[in-house]
Amino acid sequence: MSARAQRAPRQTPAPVSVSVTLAGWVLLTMDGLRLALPQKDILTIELVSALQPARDGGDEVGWFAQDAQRWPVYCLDRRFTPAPALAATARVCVLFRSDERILGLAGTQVSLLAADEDLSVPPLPACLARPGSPLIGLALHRHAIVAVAHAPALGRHLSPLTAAHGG
Amino acid sequence: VAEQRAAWLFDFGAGLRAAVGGQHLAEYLRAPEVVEVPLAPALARGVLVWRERLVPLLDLGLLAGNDDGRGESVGAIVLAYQQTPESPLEYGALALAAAPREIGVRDELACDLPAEPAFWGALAASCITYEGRPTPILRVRNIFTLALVAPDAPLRATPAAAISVAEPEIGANQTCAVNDAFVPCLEFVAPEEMPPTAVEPAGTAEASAPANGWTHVPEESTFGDVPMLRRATAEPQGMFSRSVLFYRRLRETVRRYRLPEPRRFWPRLAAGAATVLAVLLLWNFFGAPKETPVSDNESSRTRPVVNVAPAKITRAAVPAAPVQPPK
Repeated sequence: MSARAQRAPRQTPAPVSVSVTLAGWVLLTMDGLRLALPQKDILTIELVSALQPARDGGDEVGWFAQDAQRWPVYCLDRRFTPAPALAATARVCVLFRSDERILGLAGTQVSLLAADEDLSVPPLPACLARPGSPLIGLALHRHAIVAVAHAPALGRHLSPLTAAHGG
Repeated sequence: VAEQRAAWLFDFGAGLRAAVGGQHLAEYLRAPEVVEVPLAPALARGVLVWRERLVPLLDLGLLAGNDDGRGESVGAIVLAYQQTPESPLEYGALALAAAPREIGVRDELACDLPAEPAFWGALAASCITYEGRPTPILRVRNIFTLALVAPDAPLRATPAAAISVAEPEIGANQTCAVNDAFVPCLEFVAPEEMPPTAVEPAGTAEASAPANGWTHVPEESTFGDVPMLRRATAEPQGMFSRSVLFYRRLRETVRRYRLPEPRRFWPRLAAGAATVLAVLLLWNFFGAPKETPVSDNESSRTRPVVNVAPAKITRAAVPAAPVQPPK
C-alpha cells in the first residue's frame, strides 16, 4: 500500500438513492383493441376477480381496494368509449398513474415488452388525430396494430379531472 | 402549346370526385384490409398495413356527409407526398368507389372551384372542367396533414369545436390548372429501395408528353406508365401489386443500363478494336519471344525408343516402274 493511500482517510460510502426508470410497454388487449401504455406509468396488474362492484353510478365498472384506499377501474369498448359494465372477456386490470390519480383499465390479457425499442411508435398522422384523444401513435407489433396511449391523457379520457375519485 | 400533365381522377362516390397529379400515385389496392382507429376523425376509415407500414385511410365522401358508403368494400389509392421538399416521402390512402382513371390536365381547362363542398378550398390546388363538371386538383399533402372539419361526435373529455380548418389555398378566378400540384418531384420507389434523394428533374417524369398528342384533351390516356392498372379491378390485389412493381423495376433497370445510341456506340467500338489490333501488332514486332535455340549436341537429344516418324521418302526409295519386256 502506498504512503498516499495510507494517509487518505477512509471514505464512508454515502447512501445512494437508486431511481429505477422502467422501460418498455404494457400491452392490454380489450375487445379486439390492443392498447400500449408505458411501463413507467403502471402501478400494478390485478385480476378482475379482486374488484369490488361499482355502486356510484359513474362510468367505472368496479373498484380496486387496498389498505383502506380504492381506485376506480374502467372498461373501454372498441370505439374507446367507457363501457357501462365489465366486459365478459375481461380477466385482468391495469392500474396506472394519471395526473396524481390512480385509475384502472380492464382487459382480456396483458403482455409486457421489456424495452422501449420493442415498439416503434411513429407519431399519429395529423389526419387521424383529434384534440383530446389520448392516443399518441400507432404501432405494428407482430403484424397487429397497437394503439399507443399517453397515460395522463387516458386518465382524463376515462374520468375528467373534475370528478372525485379515490380515498 | 399549353403544358399538359397527367393526373388521376378519383371517384369518392355520391358524385364526389377529384384528381391528383400523376406523380403522387403509389398503388391502387382493390380490397384492402382496414383496421379502424378509435377516436379518429369521422373522415378516417382507419389504417391499412401497406408494405409493412401503417397508412391512414381517409374517405372524403364521409367528409362530405355521405355516410352511406361506410362499411362497403371499396378500393383504396395509396398516395405519396412530402410535407416539404426536403422531408422524406410519406404515404396516405384515399377510399375510392371506383378504380382511378388517368386524365390530362392543362391550363385551358381551369375553372373556378365549386363552393360546395366547402372543404375543397382547403385541399385543392386548382380546378378543371372535366366531362362538363368542375373537378378539383388536390394538393395531396394537405389531405393528410390538415385537420379537417367533419361531423364528429364530441370526444368524452374535449369538445370537437377545437378542430380548425386551414385557410383556402385557392382563390377565385383560378386560371392556372397546372401548378405546383404537378411538380414532378416524386417518382415512386419501393420504400425498401428508396434512395435518400428520389427527386428527378422536371421533364423526366411520365407527365411530360409530346405536345402534338394532346390536341383534343381531356381524354383518357393509354396507361403507358402503369400497364396493369386498367386491369386492376379484375385481378387479385396481390397480382396487381406485383405486376406494377415488376414493370416499374423493369423500366428502371432498362433506363439505368440502356445501351448508348448506335450513332455514338459504333465509333467507340471501332476505335477500341483498332487500338487492340495496334497493340497486338506492336507486341508481335517488339515484345514477342524469339524461337527457342536448340542445341546441336547429339547427346542432348533424346533418342526415341521406337521411331514412329515416317520414313523419309527419297527418289531412290521410290520403286522404279517395271520394265516392260520388248515385244
